[in-house]
Amino acid sequence: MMRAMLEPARSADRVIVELTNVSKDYHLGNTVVHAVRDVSLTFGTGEFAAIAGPSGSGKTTLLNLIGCIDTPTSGHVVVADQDTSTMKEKALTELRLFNIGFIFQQFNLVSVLTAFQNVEFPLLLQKQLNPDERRGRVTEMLDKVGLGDHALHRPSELSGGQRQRVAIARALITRPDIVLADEPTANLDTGTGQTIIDLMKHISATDGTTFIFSTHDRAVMEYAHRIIELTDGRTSS
Amino acid sequence: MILVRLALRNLWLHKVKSFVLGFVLMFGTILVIAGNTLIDNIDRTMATSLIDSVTGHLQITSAAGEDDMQVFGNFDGSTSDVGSIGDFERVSKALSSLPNVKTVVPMAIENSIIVSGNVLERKLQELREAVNANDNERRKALQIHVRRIIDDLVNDLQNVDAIADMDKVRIELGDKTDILAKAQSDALWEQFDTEPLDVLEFLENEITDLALDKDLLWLRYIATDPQLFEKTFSRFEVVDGTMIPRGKRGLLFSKHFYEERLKNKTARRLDKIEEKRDDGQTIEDCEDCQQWIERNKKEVSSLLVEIDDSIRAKLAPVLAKHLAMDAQTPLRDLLAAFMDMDDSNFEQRYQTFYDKVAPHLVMYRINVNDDVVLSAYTRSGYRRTDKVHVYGTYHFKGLERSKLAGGFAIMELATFRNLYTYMTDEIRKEQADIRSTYDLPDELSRESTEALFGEEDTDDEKPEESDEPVAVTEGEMEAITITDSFDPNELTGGVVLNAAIILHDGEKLEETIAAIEALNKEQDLGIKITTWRDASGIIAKFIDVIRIVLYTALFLIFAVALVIINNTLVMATAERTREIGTMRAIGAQRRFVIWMFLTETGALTVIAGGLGALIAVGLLQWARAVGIPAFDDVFFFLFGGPRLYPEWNAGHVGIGLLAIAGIALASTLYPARLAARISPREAMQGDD
Repeated sequence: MMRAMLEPARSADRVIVELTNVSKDYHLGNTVVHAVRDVSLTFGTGEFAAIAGPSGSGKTTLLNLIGCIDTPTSGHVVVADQDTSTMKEKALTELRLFNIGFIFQQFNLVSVLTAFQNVEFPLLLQKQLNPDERRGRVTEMLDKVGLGDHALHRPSELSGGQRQRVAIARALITRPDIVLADEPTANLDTGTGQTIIDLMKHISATDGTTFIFSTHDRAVMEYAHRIIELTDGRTSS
Repeated sequence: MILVRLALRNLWLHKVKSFVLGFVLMFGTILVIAGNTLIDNIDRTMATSLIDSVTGHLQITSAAGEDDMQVFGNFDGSTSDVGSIGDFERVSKALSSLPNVKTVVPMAIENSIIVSGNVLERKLQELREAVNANDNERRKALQIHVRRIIDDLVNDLQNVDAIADMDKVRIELGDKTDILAKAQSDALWEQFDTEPLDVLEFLENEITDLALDKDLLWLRYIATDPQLFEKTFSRFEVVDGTMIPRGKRGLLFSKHFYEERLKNKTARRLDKIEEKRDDGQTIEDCEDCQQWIERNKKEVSSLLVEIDDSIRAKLAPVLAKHLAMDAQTPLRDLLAAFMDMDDSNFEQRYQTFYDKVAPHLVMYRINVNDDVVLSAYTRSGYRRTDKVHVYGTYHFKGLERSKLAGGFAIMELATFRNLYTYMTDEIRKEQADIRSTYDLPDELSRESTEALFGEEDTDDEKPEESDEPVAVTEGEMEAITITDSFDPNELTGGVVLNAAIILHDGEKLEETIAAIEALNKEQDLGIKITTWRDASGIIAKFIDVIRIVLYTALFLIFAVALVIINNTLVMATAERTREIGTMRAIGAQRRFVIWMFLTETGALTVIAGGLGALIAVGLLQWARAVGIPAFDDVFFFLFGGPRLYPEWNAGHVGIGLLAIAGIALASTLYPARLAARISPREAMQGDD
C-alpha cells in the first residue's frame, strides 16, 4: 500500500479503482437484499465522479465496497492495485488508512478533539511523521480549507460548513489516492454545499486526487466529470 | 499519546459518569488498603497479646493427649484433655538445645473452685475477733447479725433443696438438718455467752461449709514456675501484694478477675460507671451505666446483710444528712435513694460510698494475704481440696481491661500437682520396682494397679481418669497440705500438662517447629506442638472470621463495582458507535479501539485509585496518631491494649491498587471487545 503512495504521480488515465462484476448481498432476516448487482466500473486518478440514485439504490454500499469498508459477495474490487476480496480485515484497515480518505454526511468528527487534533488523527494512526512534520502538514491543510483560524475549536464550536471542511482536511491529510464522500452536502444548506463541492473539486484538480461522492442532489451532480446512475444496485449508464 | 488525550477528554466530557465510576474505584481502594492494613495490624497486635501473655510462640503437650492445646478452653467452656508430660526436665533440656528456643515455661492450665470467702465466714471471723478483744457491744451486734445470716441460709438451703440437684457439688441436706437446727437453736446461742469459742468452732466447721454453695467461684489458673513466668512474659506485672516467692506455695489472681468476681458487686458496678465517665461518657448516654444503677438500687439488701445493727445506727444519719432526708428513714430506703445516681451527683456519691459505706462492707471476698481453699473435681467426680496463699494480683501490661487476658490466675505447679495427685516418673518407677520385687505376675500387677490407680495410664498418668485416686488408699478423702513451702527444684522437672516455648526469632516459627519435630522423633520425647495461633483457638479464629467478613464484603463490593463499570462502559460503547465506526473507517485498527477503552479506565483508575490510596493512607496515619479505641473487652485483647495504632506499608497500598486495577481491567475487557467489533460501516449514513 505504501507503494502506491510513494510512486510518482502518473497521468490522469491511470486506473486507481477497478470493480469487476461486483455484487453485494445482505441478509435481512430470511430475505436476501441484493444491494449491488453485477457492477463493473473503473476510476482513474484525478477523476471527480458522482454516484447518483434514489434512496436504497445501493449508493452507500457501492461506496463501502470501493472504500474497503465492505467486501463484495462476488466479483473483484481492486483499489490501488490491491484486490480487496483476498485481504484480511487488518490489511483492509491499513489500506483505508494510507490510500483512502473519507468524508461523511454527518461530518463524523471526534467530538472531544479540536479541529487541529481531528485533522491530525490519521497521521497519528499512521505513525510516519515526527511531531514537527505533523504540525506543519496539519496547519497547511487547515489553511488550505480556510480554517487556519479555527484550529483550536471543538466541532461543537464550528458551523456545519466549517465542520465539513475539517472533515475534508482530515480526509486529505494523508494524501490519499481516493477520497470517498457519502452525501457530503446533504446536511448543509445549498450555498454552503456548493462551497464545499467547489473546494473538493479545486483540490481534485490541483492535487490529482480521485473524488467519488454519492448524492441525490441534481445541482451537486452538475459539478461531476462523470455521473454513475444507480438503480436497484445496477448501473444504468 | 493520542490515547491518553482521548481518554482524558472523554472522562472530562462524561464528568458525572466518570465521577461515579471514580468514586466506586476510590471507595474500593480505600476499603482494600484500610481493611487489609487493619486486619494485618490486629493480627500482629493479637499475636503479641497472646505470645507475650500466655501462649508463647509454641505450646507443647503430650503426644498421647486426646485433644490439642486450647489455652482459652473450648467453645463450650469445657477443658481439653491434653494429657500430660511426665518428665518435663528431659523435654525442657532437649528443647533448650535448639538454637532458636529461648525459654521453655512449664505449665498446667486447669479449672478449680474457690471454696472460701463468704459473708458468714467473714462475719464469724469478725465475731471471733470481737470475742478475743472483749468488745461486748460489737460482739452483741455481730451475734445478732450472724444469727440472721444463718436463718437466711437455712431458708435458702430449703429452697435449693426444693429445686434439687442443681449441681453435683450441692451437699445433701438430709443429714445436715440436725446441724442446721442446732445452729438456729436458742440453746446454742445461750452456750455462746459462756463458751463462745466452742460455738464459733462449730459454726465455722459445720455451717460455713454449707454456705459455700451460695456462690461457687470457678477459677481458671495456670500453674507454672512463677519466677520463670514473670521473667519470660514481659507484660506480666504484679499489681497488689507481692510476687509468689520462690519455693512458696501461692497464687496470684488476675486483677481483672479479682475486681470483677471477688469485689463487692455494688462497688464494682460503681467502679465501672466511674471508668466509663473517665472515658468521657455520661450516665445518660451509657445504657450499661443505667442498668448498673438499676441493679444497685435493687440489690441494696445485699449490702444490708453485711451491716449489723450497731453500724446501721451510725450509718443511717450520715446518709440521711448527705441526701438531705429525714434521719428516721430506714437505712434500706436511704441506701436505695443513695444508689439512685445520675451525672449530676455521681462523683460526690461515689466518693461518699467509698468514704462512708464501703468501710462497713466486705469489699473483697478474698483479700490479698488470705489463704484460699481450692477444690478440684476429677473426672470421676472425686473432689480434692488444697489450701493456697493469695500473694496478690497481677495483670498483663496493656491488657488490663481485657477479660480474656485476665482469665487466668497464676499459681505454682506444686499445688496443682498436689490437687491432682500427679506422680513424678520416679514414684511411678518405684511402684514398678515394688511390683517386680514381689514378683507379681503381669496380669495381677495390672489388676492391682487398676485397683489402685484405675485404668493403666495409657493416657499418660492422669489420675482423674481413674476410678479412685491414689490418695484413697491412704484412707483420706481430702489432702490439705500442711506445709506452705516446697522444693523449688520441683519446678524444673516433674509432671506438667503443657509448656510454652518462647523463641528468639518468632519469624522462624516453621523452621523451629520442624527442628522440634525432628528432635521429638530422635529422642522420643512424646510431645506434640501447637502454634500460638492454634493454641489460642477461638480467639485466633475470631480474627479469621473478621478476615472472611472483610473479604466477603470486598468481594461483593467489587462484584457490584464490576457490574456497574461494565454496564456504564457498554452503554458508552453504544453511545459512541458512530465515533468508533468513523475511527475504524479512517484507519484505526481494532487494537486501537481496545486500547482506547483500556486507557480510559486506566486513567480513571490511576486518578481514583491514587486518590483512594492517599485517603486510605491519610486515614491510617491519622488512626496511627490518635489510635483506634478498643470499644470492648475482646477488642482490648485483639488490639493488644486500649488503642490500636495501625502501621501501614507499601505492600498494603500496592495490593490495594493492584486489586483495583484488576477490577477495572476485568470490567473493561468486555465493553472494549464489544467496541472493537463495531463495523466501520457504522460511520456511513447508510440509507440502504
